[in-house]
Amino acid sequence: MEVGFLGLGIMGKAMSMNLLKRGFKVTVWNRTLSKCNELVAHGASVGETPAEVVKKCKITIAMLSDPAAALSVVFDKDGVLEQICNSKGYIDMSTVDPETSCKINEAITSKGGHFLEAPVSGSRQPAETGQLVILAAGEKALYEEAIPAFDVLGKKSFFLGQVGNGAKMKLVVNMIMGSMMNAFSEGLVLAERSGLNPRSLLDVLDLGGIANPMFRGKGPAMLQDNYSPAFPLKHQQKDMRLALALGDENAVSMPVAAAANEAFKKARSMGLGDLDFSAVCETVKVLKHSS
Amino acid sequence: MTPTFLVNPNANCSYNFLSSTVMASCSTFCPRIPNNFRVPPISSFPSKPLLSLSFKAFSCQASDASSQDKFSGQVGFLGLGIMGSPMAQNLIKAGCDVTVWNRTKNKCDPLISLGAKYRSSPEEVAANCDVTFAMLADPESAIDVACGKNGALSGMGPGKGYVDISTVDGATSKMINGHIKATGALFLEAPVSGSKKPAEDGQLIFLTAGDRSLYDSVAPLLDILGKSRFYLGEVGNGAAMKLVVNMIMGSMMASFSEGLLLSKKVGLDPNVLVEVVAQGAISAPMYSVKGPSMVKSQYPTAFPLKHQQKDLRLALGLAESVSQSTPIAAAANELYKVAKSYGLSDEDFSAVIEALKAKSHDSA
Repeated sequence: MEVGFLGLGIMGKAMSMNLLKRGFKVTVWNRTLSKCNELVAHGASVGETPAEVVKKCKITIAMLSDPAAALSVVFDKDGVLEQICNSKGYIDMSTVDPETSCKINEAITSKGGHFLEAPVSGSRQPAETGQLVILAAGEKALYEEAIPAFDVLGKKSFFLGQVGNGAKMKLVVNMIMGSMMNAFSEGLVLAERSGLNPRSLLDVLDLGGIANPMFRGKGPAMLQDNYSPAFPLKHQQKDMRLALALGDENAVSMPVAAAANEAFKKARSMGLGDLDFSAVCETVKVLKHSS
Repeated sequence: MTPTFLVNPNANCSYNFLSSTVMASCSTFCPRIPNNFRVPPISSFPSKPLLSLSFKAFSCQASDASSQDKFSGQVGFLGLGIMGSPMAQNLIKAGCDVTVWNRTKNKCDPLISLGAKYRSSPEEVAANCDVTFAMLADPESAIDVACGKNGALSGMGPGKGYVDISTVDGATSKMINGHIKATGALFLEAPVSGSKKPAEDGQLIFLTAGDRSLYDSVAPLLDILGKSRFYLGEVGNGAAMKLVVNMIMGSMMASFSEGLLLSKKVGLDPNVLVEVVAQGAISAPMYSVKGPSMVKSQYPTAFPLKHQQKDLRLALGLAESVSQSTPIAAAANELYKVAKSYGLSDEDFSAVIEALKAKSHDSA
């Protein structure tokens, strides 16, 4: 199957590599073209523009960093819209707000194209090992067609109904994740300040009802101030902001998420935006009362 | 609040009434037993005279323990609530000699029918046991049972141990420790991670601190009750560890509640959210176990909401004492307070989700 792939960042690069390794023909594009080189070395073709990629491929997947980038590859000159048509499908796996997703859906389908939103849960490592959780919504027929690709990219796919539902589900999950990371950070720092060994806290947490892969995976690195990015903090903060906006629209009370968002904002103002979102731990450390 | 406690300076609690054979097997447990035992004046005893007590020399151990890991001695258990009752039951089923007390006596009946002995006050339990466990709901109860009228303190003395499994703040634990040690007895704080089901299944996690020798002696009992145990050093460390864990847990439950509610309000199926969460990096047993019933607005009590809020309050106090701001925990605490105001104190702590829902003006 010939698949187009737009966006070769942390996620896109790993995902397109998996498709190549599993025998898919892949045509890639990235805003900074040099990022394509490694994929080319593994057998990918290159499209000079998103339009070129869509022209060549029956199904094109996009993995961009935020709503602005997602809109840009679709609507800008040489964008997806110039070549989308009745026989082609566009699958946007970026994490965006529901409005952006609906906007893209409308533009694609009004040109006769087929659209699926399919944001993922999982960061760099699950992307590399093909263990993503895919939250798809939109055209069911395109979803069915995409299943062979989804089976390579992830361990489980959900079809959630109409466009917007995938985006919403992703934002809700990441909202919980962002709050959890803050709670975890508060706990790690409190343990240390109280004279406990934070490693013991990690051991205790791993035995009980609140054990989870995120704590297990990131805890040890956090204790060493190692925040090498799997999921950049600026993107986590973007997701919290979008989730809070969703809550705003529907008058849903979300005080914990609001507090977590403040911490991520603070982290960005401290220049930690490009580090892993676990770097929010640093904001807990600076908050110290004067005695 | 200063507790009133009863310590009779003339009650030389340095007696023991163990037969010599049991003394030998107890050697690691009771390091301070004198070679000859002294019989104190009868008048200083609250209830039965020494000599009428028949001592059974038998041992109890976890089913998968080696023959080295035995506990020989009488075990007291104060507090038979959601946690204490299954814990005491597990000790009895493992063959331990257990004496129970509870503020509401009828809670003792199921234990008595399983073979437990009964004493009518913490003091009497402590006086008649080698090690006494206490599992109370909060600092106030823990202090009262240990140091209050007819409290355990009055029955403690050299050769005995007090293991407080209640979740309290460090200051309370240190205070109880001080009073217990003053009688010559040993003290171990030992709060647990795990609620009703782990208590029933003997799968608790002990976060202990205090007397190392007492910890070593009661290890066989902890292994009956739990799946793992930590010794964390000086008194206060166990309490702190428990509060940190429950602070994280309380925040996680509040955040999960926000997610469930938001998903529903924006047209998603919250059951699918539970499924999606279970697949990913934030998958925790707590979410999978409690999510489905939360979606149905059901909160069967495994860990009462009032206790979770108590733990958050104590954790915030701990944070303040070390000059640390904890905005997420503070926000979560507010939600539990609101839930309490809605009358949900005795529901499971997952009922915190109700605090996020709009309440009509004339709801109860």
